Amino acid sequence: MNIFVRLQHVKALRRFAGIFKTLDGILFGVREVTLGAPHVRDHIEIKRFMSIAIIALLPAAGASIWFYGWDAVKMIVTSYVCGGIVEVLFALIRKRDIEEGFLVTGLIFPLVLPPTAPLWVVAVGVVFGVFFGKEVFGGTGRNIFNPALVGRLFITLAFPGIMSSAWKVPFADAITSATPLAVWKSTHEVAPYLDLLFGGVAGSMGEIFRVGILAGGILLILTRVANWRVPVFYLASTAVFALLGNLVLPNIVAPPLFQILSGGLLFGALFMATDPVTSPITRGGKLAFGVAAGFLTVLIRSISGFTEGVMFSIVFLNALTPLIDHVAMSVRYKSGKPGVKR
Amino acid sequence: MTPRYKGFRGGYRFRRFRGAPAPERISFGIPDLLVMPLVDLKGKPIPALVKAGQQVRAGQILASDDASLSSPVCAPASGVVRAVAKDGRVLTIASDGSADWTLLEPRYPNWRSTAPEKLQEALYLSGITGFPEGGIPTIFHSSVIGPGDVEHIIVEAVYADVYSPRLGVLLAGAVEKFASGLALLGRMLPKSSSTVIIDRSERALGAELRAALAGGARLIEAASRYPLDHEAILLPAVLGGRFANGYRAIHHGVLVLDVQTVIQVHEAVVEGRPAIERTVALAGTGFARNIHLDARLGTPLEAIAKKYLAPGIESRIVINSPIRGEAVLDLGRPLDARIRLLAALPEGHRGQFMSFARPGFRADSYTPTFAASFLPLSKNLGTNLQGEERACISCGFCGDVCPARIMPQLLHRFVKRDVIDELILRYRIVDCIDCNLCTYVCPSKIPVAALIREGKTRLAAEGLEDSTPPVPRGVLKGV
Repeated sequence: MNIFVRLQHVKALRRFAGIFKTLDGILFGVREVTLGAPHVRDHIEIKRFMSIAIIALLPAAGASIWFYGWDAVKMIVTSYVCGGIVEVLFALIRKRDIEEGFLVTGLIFPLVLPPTAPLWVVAVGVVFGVFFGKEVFGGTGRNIFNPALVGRLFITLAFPGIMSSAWKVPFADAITSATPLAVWKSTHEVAPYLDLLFGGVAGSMGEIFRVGILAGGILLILTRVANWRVPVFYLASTAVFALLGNLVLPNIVAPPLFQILSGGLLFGALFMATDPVTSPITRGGKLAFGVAAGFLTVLIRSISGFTEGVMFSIVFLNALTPLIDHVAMSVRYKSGKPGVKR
Repeated sequence: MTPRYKGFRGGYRFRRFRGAPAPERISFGIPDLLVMPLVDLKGKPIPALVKAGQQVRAGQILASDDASLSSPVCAPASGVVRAVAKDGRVLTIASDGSADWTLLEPRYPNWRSTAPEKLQEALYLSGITGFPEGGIPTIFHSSVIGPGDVEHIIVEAVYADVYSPRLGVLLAGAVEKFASGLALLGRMLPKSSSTVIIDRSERALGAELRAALAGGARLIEAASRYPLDHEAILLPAVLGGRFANGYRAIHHGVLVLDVQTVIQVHEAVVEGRPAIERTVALAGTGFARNIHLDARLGTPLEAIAKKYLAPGIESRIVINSPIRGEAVLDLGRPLDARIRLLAALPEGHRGQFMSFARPGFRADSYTPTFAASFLPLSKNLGTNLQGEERACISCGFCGDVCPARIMPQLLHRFVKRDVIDELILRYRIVDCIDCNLCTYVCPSKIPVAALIREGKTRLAAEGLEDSTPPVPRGVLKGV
């Protein structure tokens, strides 16, 4: 028996048994065996599943640290610590296992914040996101909204000044209010594509090194950790609606390639819209989700007062996901057919 | 017109596992004691024709009852009847160790001009009609359907499961016998047409078979995936049409046979050689040697385990399939004609340090996230759960691999939340074929298939049933 198994049985520490169990699982693996057929199991487990998601996020996270140095590190650490405390507390109170999904949420959240965000805002956002975005719904697997987006949405609405006007181009000291999308809105000037791809523009700290985001997203899809349908349809639909809009209203709708390579679209489509818990489970639903998200993103970016629409689109569609799945299921299993006999 | 081979959607290809049976075949010899169950297709005892203390010869009929749904049971070895169990369901023979056997009568070397009924009689008396699950139909009530009801014979020779017996071993020097046995069955069941489905990887064997069959049967060379060997997948894939879940292939007028049985049909009816032996593959690293064993029917599995289990490894012995086979709980159980493979899976009671972060040179997974997916290394197989049970994150792996095209990720939730109503019926929970693949691939280690099974049972208990079954019940035979 290893130390963590012993600690789980110490009476005085009974409250913390969940923590020891988690540590035991992480370090020493599983000693349980199958109880019947199938007598053998696939080696994939949630720890590894989430580890792949974290590896896929590393280029974006690494770039944010490269670009913004200690500020980025502090934000990531704050997010993990504060969100982690909420996660662990809830697991202990509910006497459930600590779920690994938080390790992804805790990293995604700081990456969608402006590099200038104060640490207390990071803390408030992540605590709010984990609490109201996930735990109140019953924890991992039951949440309707992507927890990182809920946190981001909350602080955007609560602290609009901090969240939408204080950006920083990497390696530049000056604070600017101009992200490429904002610049386009006022001057119709398209930022150089190379800058957009490699992070030479202002934006949320994890969304600007787009080559790395693409690489991570492709890894997610190839390893089957993310399904290809939502991101592919999301990006395709954005391109199509941007193209059509740009043809008809060239002064209001930005051109398609610029739309795809600016703002949080790539990061959102590959890392947030792909969250399996909060996106549809049906194939048709995934298609509808992707297409609708693309349409909404172009719409919000073009005609609303906000310069960016990715976050709102995904959160809005998260709420519609059960409905989308319901419709997709009733098409697949036509309710006209009786199928039931008593 | 024969339908084109359609294959099936979903499924999973199990590749390169350690402990696969090597192409080596040895004789197990005759154990001191053999155990023969004497039960008919409904599980009722068949009256014994011999008494305790009586001398019997291999191939001699021990029990038979033409009136019940049964086939004669033949002595698998020569010796003395040691006992007939009080309930009449089991008979034990103390073998004398001799290898002699009785020449079967009648036999028909010129079977091509023999009446189907005579062939049926010969096959019935050899006991082979009792080998497949639902029996081979003859005029002697050896199956739930009659010989005129058989429309198709399918010989299943694919490598769909984790481990399979090697076709090269089973068919070594027996391709002609196999072709003859299949043609004989075709003559015996005059309304039937035959199909052999063989694994595409066995190219040379496929060509040899094609030549031997000489157009007498359709030959499909299929790229196999689990669970192609499952009747509910095999029939629609080979014949088109749909399968009525909960019934057997035989109810659809289809006789599914394995390679060995077809060869034995030839040996018994043409050569008069009794079918007293079966080849069983020993798979899994829990066995000291992974070989094919020619063993007498009725050999207690304990005798095989004693001789071949690797010392010092705690193993679980599973029959035919590590994915949907049953574990052997009582090693006194004898070898029967439906056991074609025994897998000894090492029990995985030991955890691995940081198992989730290891490269996984020998780890199998549906996700290409382990080194084993990219390297030509053979993979380990044991009973460890490989992870802790977690909440469902709707990753959709189960739905992607499901060969029945249902959505296990949704259905298991309904059962877990006690929602057993018309909705899960409309979502076709009854289409589940119990292949267990959803549970295998689940990263959250949820017993998905078991939950779906529970849902089906509870639906039935509530009196809810499918009013639009894929196959109208009137079409089914022997129901």
